[in-house]
Amino acid sequence: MIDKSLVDAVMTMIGDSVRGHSGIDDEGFESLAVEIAAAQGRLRRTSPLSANLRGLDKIEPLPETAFKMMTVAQFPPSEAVAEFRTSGTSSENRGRLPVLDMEIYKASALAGFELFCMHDDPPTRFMSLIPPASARPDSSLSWMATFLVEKFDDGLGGFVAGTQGLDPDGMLSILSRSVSDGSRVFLLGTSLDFLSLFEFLVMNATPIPLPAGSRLMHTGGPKASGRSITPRQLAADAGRLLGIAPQDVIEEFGMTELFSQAYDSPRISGVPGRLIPVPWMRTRVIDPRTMKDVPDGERGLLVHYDLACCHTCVAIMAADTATRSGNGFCDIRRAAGAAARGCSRNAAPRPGGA
Amino acid sequence: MEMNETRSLLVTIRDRWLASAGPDGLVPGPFLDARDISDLAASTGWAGMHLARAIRLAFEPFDDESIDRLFVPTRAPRFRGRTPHRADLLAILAGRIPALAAKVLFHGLAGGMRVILKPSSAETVFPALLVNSIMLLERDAPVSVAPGRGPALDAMIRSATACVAYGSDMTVEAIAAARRGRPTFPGRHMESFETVFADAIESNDEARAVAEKIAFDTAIYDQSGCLSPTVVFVQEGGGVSARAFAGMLLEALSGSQLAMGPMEIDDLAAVRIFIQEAAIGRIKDPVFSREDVIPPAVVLCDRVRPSPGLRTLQVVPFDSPVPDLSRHMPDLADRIQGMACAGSDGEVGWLLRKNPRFRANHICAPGELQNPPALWRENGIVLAHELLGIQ
Repeated sequence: MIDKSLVDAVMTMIGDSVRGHSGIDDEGFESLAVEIAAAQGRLRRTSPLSANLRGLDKIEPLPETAFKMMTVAQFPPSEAVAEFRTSGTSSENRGRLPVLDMEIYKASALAGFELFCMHDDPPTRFMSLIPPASARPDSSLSWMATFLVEKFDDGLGGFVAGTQGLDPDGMLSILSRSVSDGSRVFLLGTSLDFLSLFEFLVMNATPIPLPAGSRLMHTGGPKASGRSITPRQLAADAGRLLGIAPQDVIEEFGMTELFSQAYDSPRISGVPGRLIPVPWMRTRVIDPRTMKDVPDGERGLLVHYDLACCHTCVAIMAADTATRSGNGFCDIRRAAGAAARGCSRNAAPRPGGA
Repeated sequence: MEMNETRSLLVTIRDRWLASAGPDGLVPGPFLDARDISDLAASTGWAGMHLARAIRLAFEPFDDESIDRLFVPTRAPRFRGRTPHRADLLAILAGRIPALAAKVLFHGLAGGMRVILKPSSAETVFPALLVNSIMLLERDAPVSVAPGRGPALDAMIRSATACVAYGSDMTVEAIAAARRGRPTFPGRHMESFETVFADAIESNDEARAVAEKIAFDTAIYDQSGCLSPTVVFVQEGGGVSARAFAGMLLEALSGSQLAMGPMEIDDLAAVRIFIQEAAIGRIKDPVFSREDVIPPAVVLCDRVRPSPGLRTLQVVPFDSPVPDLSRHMPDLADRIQGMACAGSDGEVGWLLRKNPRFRANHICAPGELQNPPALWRENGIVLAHELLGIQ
């Protein structure tokens, strides 16, 4: 088991970040990450060359595929309160993340969302195209959507998707009410969910210009399905069909194996198209040959260091490559040979069942 | 062209290309100028003596006797009396190995076909140079290069008399489906492996010599192509353990004079992920790589995983008289193109008898995996002879 003092340190760091009490400097982050990795047995073994390793280089990242091959947990699996599963075509190739303490995930997901999505004067009504956790208890994304709706929704929004797919009447009801009472709305969904919504609006010739200041958060690139929509097209359609400004279209990046996220939030990061991790997560873009950081603007392999994963594994090597962009990354691509995945694999079917 | 003319053309082409492949690299000649050589090096990713070696491997197997045998089917043709070179063979190539294009072209012409080479997207220069070298000798030679993607190629795929198609299973199946029953020779995904029996590595010197040969088989085409080994089975109980042999393999791969070709970041990422995955398996300290940089890499394992290529070898130790291949690599049953063995004929025979679903189309000693004879039964057939049987 991981020492409680480490967990408390992480929770404090998350809380302080969102309250704006203090930033997280590299030294503080690396020190805590290395301490957690040591407790998890994930420090690189010493050798003449590794003796000089510093900071995050001391940590041996676990490939994301490990979550398919073994149980990754610093606690007896029987003590898990939930188990998140990656998307996949069969139970055999789905990764598993046992969850010991849902409060850590909740704190991380809410704090990250607050930092990147709830800036200025945010909407207070939420509509989630992502099914709630009650419908998809093994989906970390559904849990996140549930946390967000429970905390931020004014009670007149809610979920418009369940096990049977998107609910057109529910969608129209929330959106129409928002138009009539002038209440700005925050839409949550995967990119394919939004593709379905847009197709529905086009099919019914019913663009719904939402009150100015409405926002949209999409996640999960369409990595394997036959249908797809680019972030740029998604933002354009959101403007054309829902009246949402491009700066209010936010992209979220998450992985089942992580408790924390990265965001492309144009009004926060200033540079559209760049995903920036929450302060208690660092994402390095490394040269796969040497495991060293690539220079800015070059492509490499993504390694995420997520302090919130203190009960599982603090450093995850994703099967994704991306371009380094300042303290973030962009243009994510699945590495050669890696199985396609993504939240959109579980996207709700289009209304009407097509 | 009559048979004798075709034979003479093939001999001349072979000789010209072999003459251009000097010990240190390709040398300009009547059909290959310095720019061609530079383009070819850029396109294949191999330069100097590496490129020259790849060119020699493409043409050396076609000695005079082998060329003669290309024209003589081992079984009666299904159709006789076809006018030579009036029917099209469309060859859809994959990868960047010159030997593949050369082999298909030699077999196609000997099989009496008009040969149309469709280069792979990875390497377009060699097929064009090969066709050009023939046209310079024989202006009306029945050879050409297919158009790139598009309706013209689609029409050619549908209408060519015969088609040999290399690529992923999905690509090959789509091509076969588009041809609706016309003769199609599929070159789907196949792999190769090597086996080292204990009596072949009794001493360190013997083991190092075998490792050098396996490293050559691995490095010459950067582990691309179906004859590149991805896994080496090593019998325990000899003078050199499988673990020690894995270290020797890394040493041989690291010291190879054959410089690595182009490496895409996504492919390198796959190698890194492969290595990180190996490290969490049941075998302790399974990864052999230089600490500062990969590839190459060698990984000890019990169960073979899909190889990321780029000179990444898996070493599977075994204690039994022969390895049980269906246990170690079940996914590769009926997908073995080549097998190199360091051991006695008896051991090789036993290995084949015990593993009937892993019979290779090319069986040889280490170091010869990438040098199959001209008439080897790639994918189970001698292409030229099959073509002779097509009306």
